[in-house]
Amino acid sequence: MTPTPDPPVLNVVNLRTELVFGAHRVEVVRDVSFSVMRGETLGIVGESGSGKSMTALSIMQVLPRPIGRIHSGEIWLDGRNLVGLSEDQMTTVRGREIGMILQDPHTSLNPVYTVGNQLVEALRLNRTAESRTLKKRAIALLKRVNVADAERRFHAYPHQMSGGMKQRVVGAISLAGAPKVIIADEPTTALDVTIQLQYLQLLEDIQRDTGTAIVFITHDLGIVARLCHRLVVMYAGRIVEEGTVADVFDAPSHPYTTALLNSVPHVDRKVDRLYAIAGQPPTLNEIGEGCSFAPRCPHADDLCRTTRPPRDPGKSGSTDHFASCWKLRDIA
Amino acid sequence: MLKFLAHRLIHALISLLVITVIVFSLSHLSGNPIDAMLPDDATPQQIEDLTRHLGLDRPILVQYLTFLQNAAVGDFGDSLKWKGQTAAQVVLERMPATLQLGGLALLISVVVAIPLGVLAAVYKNTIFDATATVIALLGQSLPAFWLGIVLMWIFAVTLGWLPTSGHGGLSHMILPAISMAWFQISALTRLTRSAMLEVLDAEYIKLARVKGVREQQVIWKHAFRNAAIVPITYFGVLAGSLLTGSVVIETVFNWPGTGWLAITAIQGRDFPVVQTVVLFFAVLFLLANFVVDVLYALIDPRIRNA
Repeated sequence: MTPTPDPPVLNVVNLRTELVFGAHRVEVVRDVSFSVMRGETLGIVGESGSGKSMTALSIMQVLPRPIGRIHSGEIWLDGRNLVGLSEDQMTTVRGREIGMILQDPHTSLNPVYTVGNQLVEALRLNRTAESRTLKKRAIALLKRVNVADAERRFHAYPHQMSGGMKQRVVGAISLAGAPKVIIADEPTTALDVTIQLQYLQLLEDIQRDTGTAIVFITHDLGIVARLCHRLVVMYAGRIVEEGTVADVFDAPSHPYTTALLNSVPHVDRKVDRLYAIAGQPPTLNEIGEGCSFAPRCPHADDLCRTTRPPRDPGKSGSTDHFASCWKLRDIA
Repeated sequence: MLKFLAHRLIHALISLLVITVIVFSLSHLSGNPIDAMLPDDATPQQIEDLTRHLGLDRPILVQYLTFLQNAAVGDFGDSLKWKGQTAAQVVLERMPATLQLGGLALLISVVVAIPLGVLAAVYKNTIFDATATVIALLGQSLPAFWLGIVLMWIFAVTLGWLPTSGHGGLSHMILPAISMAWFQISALTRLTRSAMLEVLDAEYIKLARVKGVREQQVIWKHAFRNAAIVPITYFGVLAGSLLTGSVVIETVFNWPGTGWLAITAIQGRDFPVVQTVVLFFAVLFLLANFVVDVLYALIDPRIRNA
């Protein structure tokens, strides 16, 4: 008998999320499946509007009210399906089992409460510390995310801190419940480049210490290459390619992935004009039956435009590399 | 915090000083008080005597300083219309009734409008929101005197639960207070609703939710405290206008307040009383706005440390 591998800590299966505007429905997450193992970092890559943030909000079940809702699918967290849980049950999942870091640190802390107040609130909700030791725990967390002068910063308000410092606090808040999974939704986009690197380093350290799984949402392939073990590429609400970072970067198998990789400028190569993908991503109610990328794809034919491509093994030949493209074998 | 409040207090005092200048000048712009005080057939000697007696022959700056000095100790001279009483006495007699009624109307406005506005935002586009909108719309379109009369007809005349009019206990205040408050409830509800809608979209609300805060706490602890700046700003105007009395409501309910007093004094060219009333109102407005400043500072650290 072969040993069964560890089950994934987070397993999303055929997730479909829609926004409802009266009689009009728009599907923003279309049949998305992926899994993350303990201690693993999964990158979710895509342009704005590709459904990556909506996927994250679906997992947390904090979709925009009242228009957002999960249509179907399963979200397994450590053997429990989160879809269908009551709001009360979800409150105990949020923070305690899945933490989240938002994009813009300048707006994601409440301006009228001190950093300490917001951190202690998270600790209290997640019952990870006794009330006597809350403040001590909070300061320890601030130190853990490398906030200098933590005792003083505990009493500071968000407007008295820099962006990088605030994002560290948001990171500390997400750690307060010692979650199994941390979803980071473009956490470094609003930071200076030097601060970005420090922040990524911090996430790596935390993962090494705690073994938490990280879902890292970004449009920055450089970060994916540096931080992630595996990635999924999303386009117009669907996953078009998935695999290990090495496989996908070495043998991109979907024309969209290839185009994304070509769009990354290189300092060592001099070009007259930076590469850009022709056309615009579709608005989500424009998408037809076929491959969503067909309208912008140089290889598309009638089959691509009318029928959704199957999930096939990718060009690397690895068993965990997949892409959804009719032309997978045709394009050299 | 103290520095901020001291700063605001100095502002209020400067405003008060400017108002005294205006009040003082207005009484001089609106004709010679001697004409109003003496009969038409007064002799030049009588006019001159009275002018000297009242100090109107002295330089204008001296007159102003004297006015200021007397005003500081509450001496605005004798009332011309209500013989034998000082202007301050006339106004002070009416003040408690106005403050009682205005205070109750203010309380009703805040207690009804704030929860209504918050819930209307939370349950946006539901039946609840629609009901709140209708209540707000009614308040802004029904004239206060008409509302007062209808309330009186229903609750005092037909049902007999409350007295029709006059000054007395709490039961006398309910109908006029509701009539005054309804219009304000509308404005305050709509302001609170829109402020809450904006805040509920903020990223820190999303963060509060993803860290596991219960919805009740998200709304009141995280959202409302940020949204409160808007209704608090309006509270200054609200308190000012309710506490200075309403001529219409006082007339409909035969309520002995300062709104009615102000109009009567103006019509009777009773300048000492007019000046006193205007200064009282100004002080009330300044106090209300000072309270608003204090509330700002309590609620928002960014203002407190500015």
